[in-house]
Amino acid sequence: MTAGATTLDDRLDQPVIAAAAAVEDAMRADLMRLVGQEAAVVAAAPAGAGKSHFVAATVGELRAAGLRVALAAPTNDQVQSLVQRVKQLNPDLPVAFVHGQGRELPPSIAALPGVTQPSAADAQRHRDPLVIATVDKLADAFLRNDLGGFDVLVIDEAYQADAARYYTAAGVARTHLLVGDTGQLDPFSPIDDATYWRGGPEDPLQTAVGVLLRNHPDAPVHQIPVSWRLEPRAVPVARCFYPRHAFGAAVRPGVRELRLTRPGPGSQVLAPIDGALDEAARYGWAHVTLPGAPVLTADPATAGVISELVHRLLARSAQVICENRGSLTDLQPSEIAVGVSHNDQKDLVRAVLDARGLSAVRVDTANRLQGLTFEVVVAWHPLAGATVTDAFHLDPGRLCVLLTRHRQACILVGRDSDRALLEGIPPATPGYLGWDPDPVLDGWDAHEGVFRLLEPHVIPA
Amino acid sequence: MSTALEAYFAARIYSEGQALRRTTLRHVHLADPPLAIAMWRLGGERFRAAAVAWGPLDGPFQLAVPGEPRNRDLYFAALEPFAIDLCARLRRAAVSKVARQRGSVTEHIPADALQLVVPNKSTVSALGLLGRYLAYLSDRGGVAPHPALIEAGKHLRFYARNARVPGQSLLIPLDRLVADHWATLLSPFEQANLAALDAQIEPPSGAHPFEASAAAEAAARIGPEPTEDVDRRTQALLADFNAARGASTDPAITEPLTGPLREHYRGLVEPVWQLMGRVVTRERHLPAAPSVHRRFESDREAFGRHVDWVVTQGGYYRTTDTPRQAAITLRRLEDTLARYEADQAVEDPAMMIPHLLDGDAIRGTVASLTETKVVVKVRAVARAVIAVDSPDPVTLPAGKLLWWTATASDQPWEVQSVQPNGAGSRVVMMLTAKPTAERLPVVGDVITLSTLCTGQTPFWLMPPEIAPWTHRPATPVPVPDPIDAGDSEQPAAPVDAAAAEDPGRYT
Repeated sequence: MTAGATTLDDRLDQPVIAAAAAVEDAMRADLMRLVGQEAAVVAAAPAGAGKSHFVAATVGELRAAGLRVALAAPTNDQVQSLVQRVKQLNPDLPVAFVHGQGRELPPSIAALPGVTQPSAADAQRHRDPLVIATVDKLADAFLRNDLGGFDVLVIDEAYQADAARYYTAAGVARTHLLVGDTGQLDPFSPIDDATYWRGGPEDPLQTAVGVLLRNHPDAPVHQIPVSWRLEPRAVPVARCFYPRHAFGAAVRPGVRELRLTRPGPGSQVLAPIDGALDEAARYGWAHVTLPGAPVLTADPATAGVISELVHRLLARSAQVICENRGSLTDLQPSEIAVGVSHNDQKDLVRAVLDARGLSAVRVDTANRLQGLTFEVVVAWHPLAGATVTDAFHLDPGRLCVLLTRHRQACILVGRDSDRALLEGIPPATPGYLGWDPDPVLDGWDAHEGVFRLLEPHVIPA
Repeated sequence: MSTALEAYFAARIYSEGQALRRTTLRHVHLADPPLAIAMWRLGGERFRAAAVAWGPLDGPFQLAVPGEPRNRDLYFAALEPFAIDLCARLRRAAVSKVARQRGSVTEHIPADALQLVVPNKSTVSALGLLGRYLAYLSDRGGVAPHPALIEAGKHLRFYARNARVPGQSLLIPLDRLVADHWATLLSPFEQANLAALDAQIEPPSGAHPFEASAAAEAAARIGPEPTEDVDRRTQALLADFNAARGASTDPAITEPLTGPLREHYRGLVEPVWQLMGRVVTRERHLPAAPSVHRRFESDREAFGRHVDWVVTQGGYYRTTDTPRQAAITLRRLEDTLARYEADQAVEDPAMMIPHLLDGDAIRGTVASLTETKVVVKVRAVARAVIAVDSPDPVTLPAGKLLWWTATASDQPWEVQSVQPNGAGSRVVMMLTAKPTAERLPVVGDVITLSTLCTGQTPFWLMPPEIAPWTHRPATPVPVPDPIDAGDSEQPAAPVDAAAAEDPGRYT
């Protein structure tokens, strides 16, 4: 299918989109009905469900109804992109971005008309009608500068925000809209006994949505049944992470395409790398496996393969086409990301890519990639070269983030011994009253599902 | 924890047959002597102590044995001396106060705090449960339990909960202390056995450490959970005791009858007491890290607040945290952990090794030191630039912030470039603050920089007192029964299946 010959409508799966639109309408109707009450609406979404778009559009509607809105997300990256999204959809809407020290908006976003960066005290004094800040900053401003009295608090990535942070921020408005991705990483703490409060109503590490639903089980929860980011070939793998949530891809099969030039002469030495890239271009997935070996977390061989993949991808003049681009366009380094689990892996890959002049390629841990979209993602398998499994590396949220950031293709890099880690019986895990998810067992299951689905795409390195 | 370092330790311990020290300094305060507590429970009875031994570790212990701990009267009568003594020691420790200046605020905090040591982490939880039981006793039937029992319960609860604080030294489980200080070839499960740890570190003369360790693990009886053989013996003695006392709880009758049980537990505690003494003496020989004093000051502050609340004001602690308390506690624990980890690595070269191996620290010789001007916001300011030659390859990205261990509580250096340099790397870094003499190393110095900052954690405001509606249940939670409700009821008689009229009823 060539893009020019069809309209955008043909490239999208209309029934899936219509179903999602109906859910979004129902959520907004619920929210409007509840405004003024101590009540909340929850939107649970799969990866790339257009949450930010929904949030930006809803904020526009709330403002149109004359309501004062606070919009928050857990990290600085997320709120900055929210400012951008809100302005894209509502160019005339004034936005007050309240930030911490040294966390100003990048110049390109700050320069948008109507965007201001007032202090928290000024935002309150002027009663700015739309304030955007991180959850932490909002909480701090509420305590320090009495920033509050909003009609609606909207939290994006609410499954990433923990109950402790939500506790203070919740005071800024009576009515809340919590939007989030259930498959992502749960709130996390480095302390030894982070499970100390688990199962109790006071648990500060349950999600914002978790504490809300525990205390107010009648709050309406809506599941958004679409993923705009993932394409049909990516959806079956993504479903491993959303076992009780049905969703489909918004885009029709074959609309997106990643095109590579042929490997030139003398490229025999790079045959496995080229094989992986071709596989990824053709099927949307490749699972590159190095020979099985127990290795350190920041394994230089794995980093080498990742850097080779990224370098070769650009060297083979990768081009992409999709529902938003009329014709083939060159894949930019900034549209590629490398996802890892550990900071030392991040530093290693960063240094290796910088040395090859690939500084524009984003390298980050799964936590920091949450909520972001790229055309191609190269993911360092969380279990790569591990000798034992543990709760951290089995966390389904981590793998979910790594495998659901891409629009075109994802290349997973691990070792051929990784799958054997999941043979036999899963480890015994403690149970907690009033606490349903079991991250280790869920992770075990999700990892096994992913290994199985990617089996046809395994390329030995 | 660094996988590489663990692998190195494992290989060396295996080939040399000797446990190795992980630290060159001691990172917790160790009183001379601390108050030691060893405890035994009955199998399957988690809330009651069948025997409690306590006393300063440099002397003999006192022993409380109720005989039948499931009988409330006997139990309380036996625990009373322990509770009275514990309360008295605690109050004594809090009497003498010193002024502590923090900014413009002068506070008076205890000059010392009562330090408890126990053989293992399970004893910490056991003491917490014992405290939980005693602290909320009601005046059942108009007979109030001895006030010292309730007070001791509150103290034990405080100690057990405070034991979560990273780097605290009010209540030290010795198995953790030893495992933090020593690398051994024991699995985490085996490390919970203090005798096994001790034998691998200092085996009896002539024995190989691994064999000594295995033998110690098989032979040692440390508590609080009884092993099967201990429980079997206890069961027999308990049956004799109950048969001899009839239903009597009169101390004149029961006290003499506890003799055999008392001897049984004395025999169990003796070796544990010696073991604890040996371990504490060995670890005390290590010099204390500089920040131990500051951490113990925080401990004394917490201790002072606790004594003030419980002893002076007669206050109670909630049985569970409110969402607000949990949120505050979590944040405090996280802040304390980060600072404790940084303190350890910055002060103790051995604790910096895992960070060097994991790539969040570099060590090398200062090859050059130059000053330059950069524009920060609008002004040109002076900045120092150093080049450090590391003998090992460095893979840090530009922009990474590193603190020099000599100024780890001050401003960081920002990595500008990393170039290969022979087998190692040359790392060029710029100081992110005004270059002053104290902030600059000298060319030729061997220095270490890491991502760890020992500066005080930023000040944050307490969350609101009143929970938002999202954190309050829509319907009020029912008030629980008192903890000792039903204590006076006769337990149901055991069922003899053979004699039952309808055996199927009980299957």
